[in-house]
Amino acid sequence: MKITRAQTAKYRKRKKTAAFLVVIIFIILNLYYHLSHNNGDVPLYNYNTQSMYHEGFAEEGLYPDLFLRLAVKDKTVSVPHEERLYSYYSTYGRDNEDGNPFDRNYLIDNDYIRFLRVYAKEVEVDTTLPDKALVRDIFAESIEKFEDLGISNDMLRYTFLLNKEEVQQASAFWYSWYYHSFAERESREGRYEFPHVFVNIDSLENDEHLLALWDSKQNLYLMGDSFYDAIQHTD
Amino acid sequence: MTLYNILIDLTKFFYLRQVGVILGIFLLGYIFIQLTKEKISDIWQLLLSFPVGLSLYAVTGFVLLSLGVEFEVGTIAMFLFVVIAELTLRLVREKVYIAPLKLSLLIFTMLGVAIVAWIAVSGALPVEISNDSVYYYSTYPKILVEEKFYDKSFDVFLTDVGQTAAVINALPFFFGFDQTFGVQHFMNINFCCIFFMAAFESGKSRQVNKKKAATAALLATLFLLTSEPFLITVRWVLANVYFMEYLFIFVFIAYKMSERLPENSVAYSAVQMVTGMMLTMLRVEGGVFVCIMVLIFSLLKYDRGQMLRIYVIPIAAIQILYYLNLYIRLRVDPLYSFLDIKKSMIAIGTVLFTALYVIFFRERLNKLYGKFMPILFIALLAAGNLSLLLIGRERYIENLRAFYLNIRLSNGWGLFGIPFLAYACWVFYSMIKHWKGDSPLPWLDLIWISAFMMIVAVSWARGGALAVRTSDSGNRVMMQIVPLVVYAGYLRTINWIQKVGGRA
Repeated sequence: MKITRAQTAKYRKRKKTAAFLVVIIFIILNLYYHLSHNNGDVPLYNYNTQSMYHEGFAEEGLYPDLFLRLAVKDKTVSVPHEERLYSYYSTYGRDNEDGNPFDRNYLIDNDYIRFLRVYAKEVEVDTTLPDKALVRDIFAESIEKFEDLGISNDMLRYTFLLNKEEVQQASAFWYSWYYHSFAERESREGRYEFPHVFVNIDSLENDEHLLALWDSKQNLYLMGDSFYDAIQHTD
Repeated sequence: MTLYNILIDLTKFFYLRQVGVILGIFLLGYIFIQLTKEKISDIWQLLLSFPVGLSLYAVTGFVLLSLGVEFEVGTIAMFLFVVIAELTLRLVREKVYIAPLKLSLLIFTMLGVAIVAWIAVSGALPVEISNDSVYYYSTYPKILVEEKFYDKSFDVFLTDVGQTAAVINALPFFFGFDQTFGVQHFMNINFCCIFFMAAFESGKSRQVNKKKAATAALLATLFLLTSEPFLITVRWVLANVYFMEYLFIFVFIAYKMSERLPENSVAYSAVQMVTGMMLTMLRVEGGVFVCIMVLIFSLLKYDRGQMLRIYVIPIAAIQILYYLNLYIRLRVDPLYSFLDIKKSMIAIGTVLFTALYVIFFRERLNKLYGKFMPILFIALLAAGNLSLLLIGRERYIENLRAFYLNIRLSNGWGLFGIPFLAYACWVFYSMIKHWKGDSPLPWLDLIWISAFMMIVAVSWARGGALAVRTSDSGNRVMMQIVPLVVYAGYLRTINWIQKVGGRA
C-alpha cells in the first residue's frame, strides 16, 4: 500500500516523539541516579586549592608525598648523610645464600634522600644531624607539634624509579614486596610499624632551610631549622 | 597556620600558569591546523585545535624520550618549531594559497578559550584521584622531567603506563604548577562541544533541518553527559579519559572524511596522523586497539596511499620506536608487568598484519565481500575470542562474568546498562533482519562491537581475572566505548525516524 506524504509526516512525528520521550526520561533518570548515589569505590574530591594534595588527605592519611613535594619545592633540605650504595651493607653479594638475606637499612637509610633529591630545590648533607637511632627520642616530647600526614609506604614503594643501582633490591618488584607485601605480613604479626610522615607546619612555611630526619622505623620528620634549634635548646 | 592555608600559599600563580599552558596548547594546535587544514571549516579548526595541540606536545615528548634526546621544554619547542617550519616551507614550495588569518576570529576565540580554561582550572569541577593517578600519572611524569631521559630503573613504568599520557601529566612540572585537572577538564569541555558538533552535522546531513538537528544533537550530548560511565571516566585522573575522547575523535574524523560531507576527504589527514600516534601510546594496549580500528577504517573510501600515509605508517613508526626503545636500547625486563615479550610480539605482529592487509588484501577482499565485510570482521573477532575461550576457558568466562556483573551492579555504569543492552539487541535484530540488504551492519556499529570484543580479548591477555568493582582496569577500559555507542545509537535513531515505509 502506498504511503502518502501526510502519513509519512505523521509516522515520523510519532517516532520523533517516542525517541524524544525515551531520551528525556533517561536523561532525568541518569541525573537522579547520579545525584542520589555516591561514587562507589572511586574517591571523588572537590578542590579549593591548585595542589594535587587535597586538604582532606591528611585526615585519611593519604598521599603525604603530594604535600611534601610542594613543601620542599623551593627549599634547601638538609639530610644526615649521603646516599649509601648496597655494597655498604653486610648482605651485599649474598643473594644466593639461603633465605636471600637482605638488610632493610638499604631502603630505610636512602629512600627519603632519593625522594628529596627529586622534589627539593637542593639537598645538603649535614653530618652533625642525628643518626636514625636517636631521632625518635629527640622528638618524643614534641611530637604533638607535628602534623601526621599518614603512612609513607606508597611514596617509598615508588622510589625504585630513582634507584639506579643494578641489584635486585633496587627493582620495582623488590620495592613492592618490601613496602607492600612484607610490610602487611609483618605488621599483622606485630613485627612492623607502618612509617608515618610528620611535618611541623609553622616552621615549614616560614623557614627557607629545612631538615629531614627519620628514625629506625622510617618515620619521617620534616621541619624548619628554627624548630629543630628550639628543640635542641630545650634539651 | 593550617594545612589549607599553607597549600594556598604554596600554590599561588599556579592557576595563571595552567591557564597559560592551556592557551599555549590551543594556539599550537591552531597553528598546526592552519598549515595543514586543506579545507577544514572554521568551527572544526577551533574544536580540534586543543586536542591536536595536546597530541603534538605529547607525541613529540614521547619521541624525544624514545630517541634519547633530553626531555625538556627547550627541545620540545625546538622539535615543534622544526615541524611548523617544515609545514610552512611545504606550503610555500607548493604555492598553496594560505587564506589571511582571521585576526578578529582568533582574538575572540582566544578570549573564549581563556574563559573556559579559567572555569576548567578553577576547581569548580570535581576530580577522582586514585593510587594510579598519584604514582603513574604524577610521580612518574615528575621523575621524567627531573631525569630528562628514560632509564632502565623505571622498570614497570615503561611497560605498564601509557607514555603519551605520562607526557601530558609532565606539563605541571615543566611550567610550574602541580596538577593537570584544568587541562583534563578543558579537554572534557572541548570534547562535549566536538560530540555536539558531530551529532549536529550528522543530523543535518540526514535531511533534518538545522533547528531540529541542533535539538537532537543537544539531547544526544546531554544523554552522554549524564551517563554514569562517561562521568566516572572524565573526572578520573588517569589515561582512560584521554583514550576515550581521542578514540571518538579518531573514529569520527575517519567517518567524516569518508562521508560525502562538505569538506574534502583528505582535509583531516594531518589531524588523523597525529591523533592516531597519540592514541597508540595513551595506553599500553593502544597500539593493538588502533590497528583494529585502522582495519575497520579500511572499509571506508580511502585509497591505499591514503591508508598507508595517514594511518599505517605513523602508527607503525611510533609502535616500532616504542618496542625498539624498550627491548633493544633500554633492555627492560620487569619481573611482573602487564606487557611482556610475548604480548609485545603480538602487538608488533598486529602492526605488520595491518600493513600487509592494507597493501595486499584490502582491495581484493572489499571487492569480493563488499557489504558483508563488517560481518566478516565481527566473525573473525568472534573466532579470535572463541580461541581464547578454548585456550583459557576459566579466565575468559570469569572475565565475561565480571564485565556483566559490573554493568548489572552499576559499578560505574549507573543506568547505562539498560539502553546499552536495548541498543545491542536492536543492532543484532536489525543485522539479522536486513542481512541481505545494503548495509546489514553499519560501520559505526561495527566500531563499537569490535571495540567491545577487543577489550574482552585484551582483558584475557592481561593475565589475572578481572574484578567486580568500578576501579577494575578492564571495567574502566570498557567504559571508554560509551561515546561511540551513544553516537552510533543517535545516528541509528535519526535514520529510523527519517525512514518511513521505504521512503527516507
